[in-house]
Amino acid sequence: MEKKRGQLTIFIIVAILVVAIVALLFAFPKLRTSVGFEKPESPENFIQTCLEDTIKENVETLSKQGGSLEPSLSILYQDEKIQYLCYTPQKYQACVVKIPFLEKHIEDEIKKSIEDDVNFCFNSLKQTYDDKGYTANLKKGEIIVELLPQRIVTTINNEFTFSKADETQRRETFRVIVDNNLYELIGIAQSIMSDEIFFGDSFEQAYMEFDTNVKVEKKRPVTEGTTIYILTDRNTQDKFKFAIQSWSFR
Amino acid sequence: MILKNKLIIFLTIILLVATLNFISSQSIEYPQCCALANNGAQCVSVPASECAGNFAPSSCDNPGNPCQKGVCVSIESGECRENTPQLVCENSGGLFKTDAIHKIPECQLGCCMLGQDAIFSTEISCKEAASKEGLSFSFREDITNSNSCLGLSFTDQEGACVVKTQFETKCKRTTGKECGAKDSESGLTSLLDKYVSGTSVTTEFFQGKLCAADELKTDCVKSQKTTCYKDDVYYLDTCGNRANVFNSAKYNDPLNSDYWTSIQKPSDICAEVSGGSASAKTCGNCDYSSSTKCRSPQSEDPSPQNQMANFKNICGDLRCKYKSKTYQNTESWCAQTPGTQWEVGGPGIKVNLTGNYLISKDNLFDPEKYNLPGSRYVVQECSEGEILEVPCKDKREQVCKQYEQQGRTKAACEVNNALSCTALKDPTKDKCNKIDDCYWLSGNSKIIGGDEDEGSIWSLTKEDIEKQGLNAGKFSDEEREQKQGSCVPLFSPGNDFWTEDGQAECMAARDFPRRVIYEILAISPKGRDEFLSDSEVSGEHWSYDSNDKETRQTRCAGNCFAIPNYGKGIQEGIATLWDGKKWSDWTAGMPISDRKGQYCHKKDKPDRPKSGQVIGNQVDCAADDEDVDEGKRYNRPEFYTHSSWLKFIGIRARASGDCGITTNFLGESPSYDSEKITTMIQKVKQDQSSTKEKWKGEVVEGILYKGEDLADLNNPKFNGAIYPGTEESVI
Repeated sequence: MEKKRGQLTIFIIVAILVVAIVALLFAFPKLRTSVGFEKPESPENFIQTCLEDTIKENVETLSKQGGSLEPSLSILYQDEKIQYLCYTPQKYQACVVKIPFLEKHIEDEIKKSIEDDVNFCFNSLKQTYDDKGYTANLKKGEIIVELLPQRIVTTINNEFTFSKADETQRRETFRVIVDNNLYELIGIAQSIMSDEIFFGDSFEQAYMEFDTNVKVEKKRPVTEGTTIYILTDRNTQDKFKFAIQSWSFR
Repeated sequence: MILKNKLIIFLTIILLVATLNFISSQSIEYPQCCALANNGAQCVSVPASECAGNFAPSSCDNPGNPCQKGVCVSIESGECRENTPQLVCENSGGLFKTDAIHKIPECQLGCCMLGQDAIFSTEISCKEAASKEGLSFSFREDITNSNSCLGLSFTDQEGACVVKTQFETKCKRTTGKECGAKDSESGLTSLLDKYVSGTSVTTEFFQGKLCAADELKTDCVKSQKTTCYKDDVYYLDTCGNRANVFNSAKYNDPLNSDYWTSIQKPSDICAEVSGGSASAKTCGNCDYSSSTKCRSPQSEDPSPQNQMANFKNICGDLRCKYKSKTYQNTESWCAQTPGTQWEVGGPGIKVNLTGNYLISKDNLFDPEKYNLPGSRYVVQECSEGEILEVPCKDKREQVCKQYEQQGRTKAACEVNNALSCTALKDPTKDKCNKIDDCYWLSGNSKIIGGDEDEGSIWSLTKEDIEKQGLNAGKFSDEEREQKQGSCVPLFSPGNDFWTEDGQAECMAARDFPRRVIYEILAISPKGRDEFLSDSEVSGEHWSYDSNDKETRQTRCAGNCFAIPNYGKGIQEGIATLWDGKKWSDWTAGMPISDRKGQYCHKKDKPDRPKSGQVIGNQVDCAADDEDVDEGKRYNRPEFYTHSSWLKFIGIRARASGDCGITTNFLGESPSYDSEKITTMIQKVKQDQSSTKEKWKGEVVEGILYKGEDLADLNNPKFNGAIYPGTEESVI
């Protein structure tokens, strides 16, 4: 009988210890990592998660404003400032190009728009790893934004090193990929701009026949000679809006 | 007059002033140029107050102004933008040029063939796009028109590919892809009569257009010639390009009509021509599925209603005629070949799409008419007006079966699964008939009699009967219907009966010889003798005529029918044959009994059988006889007549293959050496021993019929109890 009572006491003590350890691990997350219960998110995933939404938002803004975050020469249309890609104030004259290389311009604009966020995300990454018991180092590098078919690729050549115990890992390149058809829409926008330079107008139906996935809408606001173009990818609903002021002289 | 002149001068001055004022107002609307406006815009015409820097009170276009317009070239991407201010260009990383764009080499546009698409761009842009999209590219600098380039991207669409030099304009009907290919691939420059390598050649693609189209101003015009293309008849132009599908009524349409200008669907030109239709004279829209196809006119085709002498093609009639029936192109059917079933000459082997016969097996089964030795099935097919023959495998290894599918007749050689019939284990009527290629031939069977010869069962002990699972004659009518017969091939297979192996096969594999004896239960020994003497001595035939001589039937005790293997010892010779009348031919008063044989044994006298009548399910064999051994009673109405038995074994032999006596497919009678049915008769006592002194105690047999005696199973030739020239022998 006494033997049985002793066994019960041991069981109760063991149970109390288990509950105490679990409670400690919940109360101090850092302790979970240090004892090897939890690993931090991979650097690639961390950066992708951190920047993806920002890039999407900035691209959306750029797309609504003719490719510029702060349009210099613009028209207000439905409470949105839309960049003129080509503009002339003079009647019977072809419009003058304001953004000659739209693709590069937008790549630069995106890059400019995310620089602060990139810094913030990488600092957060370092902090996260520091908090989890790693020794993390960050060396900043170049940011390259590329508009590519059906996607926007942001390459950040930051070097991130993190180590713990005897294990050291290093990442030199981070890629954040966002699905978007801006590349295709810009191609059409540039062709429309060429039409406007040559003819003072464009033939939206031809573009829609050529690429049935794209809808080309022309809006004529009150400003004389100005055309607002809204290009929409019918599948993804990605849009690109821009303005042109030109005069038909045919 | 003076007043009038003054008025004219006044109005002229007013108009001139107004015009000058208009021009002035246009040009001075923004006479200033600001390189950088307060709002960040570059090179805009804003007042000095809104300008952040580099304001000039003159037009931006003035030479030397940093905002003068020119061409902006991106060395990286190959883009060239006209009408771009120098400042804007340089701030965008571009190279500014004041030359006209067509004089700037980097800006020369051509057709960029990028994967399946075509883009009108510079060569550098083309390379850049190919690099970004991971596609192969080719650059066509000879294509200098945006629309022509975009047209090339419709790769599979046909149109007019126009190849032009300063001397000539040629055209080829191609797809956009072919037109857009480099000359090394398309060979388009070979169209040119005066091509000098290195000279300027432009290529332009007009989707959906014909080379003969007036608007293209090519060297090609309509012609009277026709050609065959994809089964249809097309007109050709003078360059040899296909125009539209032939329609004699449209030949004289104007050159700028749709017919001679645009590629049209054949169905939009004229209705499809079906085989034998008179519309073949006027329309080239052939329909292969309706038995027409473009070809040179043949005798069976209608003469085209075309006034042109060099008309060489027509929607030819591809149908076939066979035995007064017309078949569509690609239809097939079973041919009429001697000795086989055929639609007109016989029932034909017609099946539905699941392979079930549409004709009853009873109609299909007739080994005396069909599947004769040497016969072979043949499938015929209508192939573009010609009948092609596909023989099925010889020796009826395959038979031709015919079916209807979507209104078309189709035939195929199908395997004759004859072996499955004889190999069927524990055959019954239902099991046999479930096999497509087998037929249940009602008649005697070992099943009824067990592995012993028929009749011998009643000499078995009860233990033997149980051991063999025999029913000992207690079969119900249903069982008898199921089990009393043979499963034989529906389509008699052939075999090499003329060879030793073939003969061995005939003898080994098929159970043709049957032992038989006739019960002639004459009412008295005297009567029996008279019965025999009547048949053998007087030569009287069994019949039921009113002829006085034919009285033997009166000596028969009502059961003068052939009972295989049953019989008491009788005298030499058996002449109880009759003249071949069918069972159904006999009416009232028939000389043979229709009763079922019922045989019993007396308990204490196993060598003394006793017979009795069966009426319904009642057997009177033992009804009034208490000492009958019920265990040895059996009931076996296998055949009621000798002829029915004889016919059964004959048919069974013939159904089993070429071993039977059968007139071959050429109508020739077979020789005894090649085919035979040998029928042996065993003359035994009830204990199966011979009745002859010299064979005393032995079971013997002798040939009753052979060879051509059984050529006509309805009229067998009887040559006596023992076939002349043969002897009995011990088994």
